[in-house]
Amino acid sequence: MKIAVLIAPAVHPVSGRPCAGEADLAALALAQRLSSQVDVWYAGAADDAALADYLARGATHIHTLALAAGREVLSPLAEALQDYALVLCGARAGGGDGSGLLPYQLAEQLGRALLPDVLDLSKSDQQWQALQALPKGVRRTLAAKLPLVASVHARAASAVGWSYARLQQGKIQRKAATGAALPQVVLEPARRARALVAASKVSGHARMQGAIAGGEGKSAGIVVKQGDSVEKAQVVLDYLRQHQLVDF
Amino acid sequence: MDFSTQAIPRIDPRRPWVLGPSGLKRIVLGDDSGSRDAALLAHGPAHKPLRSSGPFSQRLLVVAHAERGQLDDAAREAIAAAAILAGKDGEVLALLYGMQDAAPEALAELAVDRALTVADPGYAPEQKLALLQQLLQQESPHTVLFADRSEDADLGRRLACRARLSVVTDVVEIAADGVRRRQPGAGFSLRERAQVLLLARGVAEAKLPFVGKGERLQTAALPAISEQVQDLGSAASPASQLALEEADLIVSAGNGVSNVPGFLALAEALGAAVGASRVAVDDGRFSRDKQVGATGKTVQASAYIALGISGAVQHLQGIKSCRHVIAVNLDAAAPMIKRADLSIIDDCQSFISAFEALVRRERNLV
Repeated sequence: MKIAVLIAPAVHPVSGRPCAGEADLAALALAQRLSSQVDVWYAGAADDAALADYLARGATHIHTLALAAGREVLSPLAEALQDYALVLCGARAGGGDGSGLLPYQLAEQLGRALLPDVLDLSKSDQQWQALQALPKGVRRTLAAKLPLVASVHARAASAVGWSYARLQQGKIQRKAATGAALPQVVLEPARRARALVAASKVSGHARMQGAIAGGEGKSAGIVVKQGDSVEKAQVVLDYLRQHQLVDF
Repeated sequence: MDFSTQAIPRIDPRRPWVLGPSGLKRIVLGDDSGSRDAALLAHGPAHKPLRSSGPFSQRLLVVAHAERGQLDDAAREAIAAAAILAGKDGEVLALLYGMQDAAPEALAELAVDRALTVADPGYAPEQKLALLQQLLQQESPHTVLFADRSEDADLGRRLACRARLSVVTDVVEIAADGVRRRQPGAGFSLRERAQVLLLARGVAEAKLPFVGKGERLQTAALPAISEQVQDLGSAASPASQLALEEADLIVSAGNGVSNVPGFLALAEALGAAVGASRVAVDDGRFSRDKQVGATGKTVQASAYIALGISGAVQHLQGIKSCRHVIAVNLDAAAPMIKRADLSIIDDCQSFISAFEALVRRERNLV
């Protein structure tokens, strides 16, 4: 089965140079585990040097849809990916907008089901089962039929290590493509974001009273000093059960 | 000189007083009515005014998933952002999954004017989308807000792509000139305010000085639409196998814990992830990857049990987003006791063995 993997260069958090993104690498590693026919696709304005990290980390051949900067990649990508039954991509790119919207747009454009935040994929009977990562360690199993789009969670699996030989052997094939122009965005240096705060009409006196009393609920912490350790342990267990924090 | 005949105007400081319009205590001469109890003012129930009584000409919609019947801070901030943006003639409408048991007062306290509460069906994106689109058609809100995390982020992106609405994700600031989002490696980017906003943490202050109306739309059932993707159920992996950042239940040891094997046995019995304070890690009792705090890991567990941790500021930074903190410490004046929701003043060693025995008995592990 042919699998398409979408990649995009990420911004290195320290040096700011382009590098391979964690989630995209995980998608590549997952695809290579599932099939031997893996096609790697990229659409955008990045040059070959920015994609070289992916060659060194296991991609043998990268198909690039070369677009001018500030063009939308969705329609050329959707056109190129129509014949693939399974499309994998990282849940979020570490570069560009990094909005995590592309898998959703692609699934919508191709009219396919989307499996979000996948950790693992496996085939059972006619269906594909995906293990989905949810916050706080919850794992959900989803099942769907092909064709599918799956976004792979950054925690999924690590790709192979960086290799100079693979970097030299890898090829990047460029093809010109066109996409609609995206609206211009204004970039600003990062600063501390200003939170929305509701205008409060209370007097200064009331505010001082509030400051003395502390935040609501915050000052209401229960302190248990009485009893021996066994009784105190029971208090803790009762608290955990009352707030449904344990399931026994 | 005889002072007793002279009329000296004196005010009894314990005279009844009234609260003036500026919020200050006023003693009115010759008036016997008023309050004598000063404590009532300081600790009386805070009465919050209604944000706006209507009539409303426009509305905002907030969609949130509750966890165990409660909204987390991210969802509260999204509702607060909607309430602040709404203005006098704007209504805050909320679609809340998994909050069908919430009282109207609780909804009002969230600053919601009208809420549609639906039981959370688990993974059902098509049904949720259909209900959401139905609601959009009925109420036509000008903005739909989601918290940009987990289920809400997923549903928000799906809605924007399905209904072809303009969307800005990772919004860190909503200002008069537009919305700002974090751009990887390039600071902020300024965009126009979109129809769908996915909010990062800290966009709005969740503490509000007003309440909403807290009315409830008739609870609607999710439309019966077949899903493309089947949910085969979810399972929480045991916390002891999880990365500390992901764990939902953490027991953490500090300087007060000397019996490490006993502590680890408690963590195993409880099925909790193991954390440690910097002191315990520096001592070599725990490995570096267990360290919680500013120089270690930032955790977001629902329950964090701190055993023998005094609670240095750096440690408290690491547990800022924990919902329930339980502290066990001998020192009742430790900063951790101030942070904790439940504090036990006890020796850690005896508490750990008692708690482990209790947990094992309750789980029938012995």
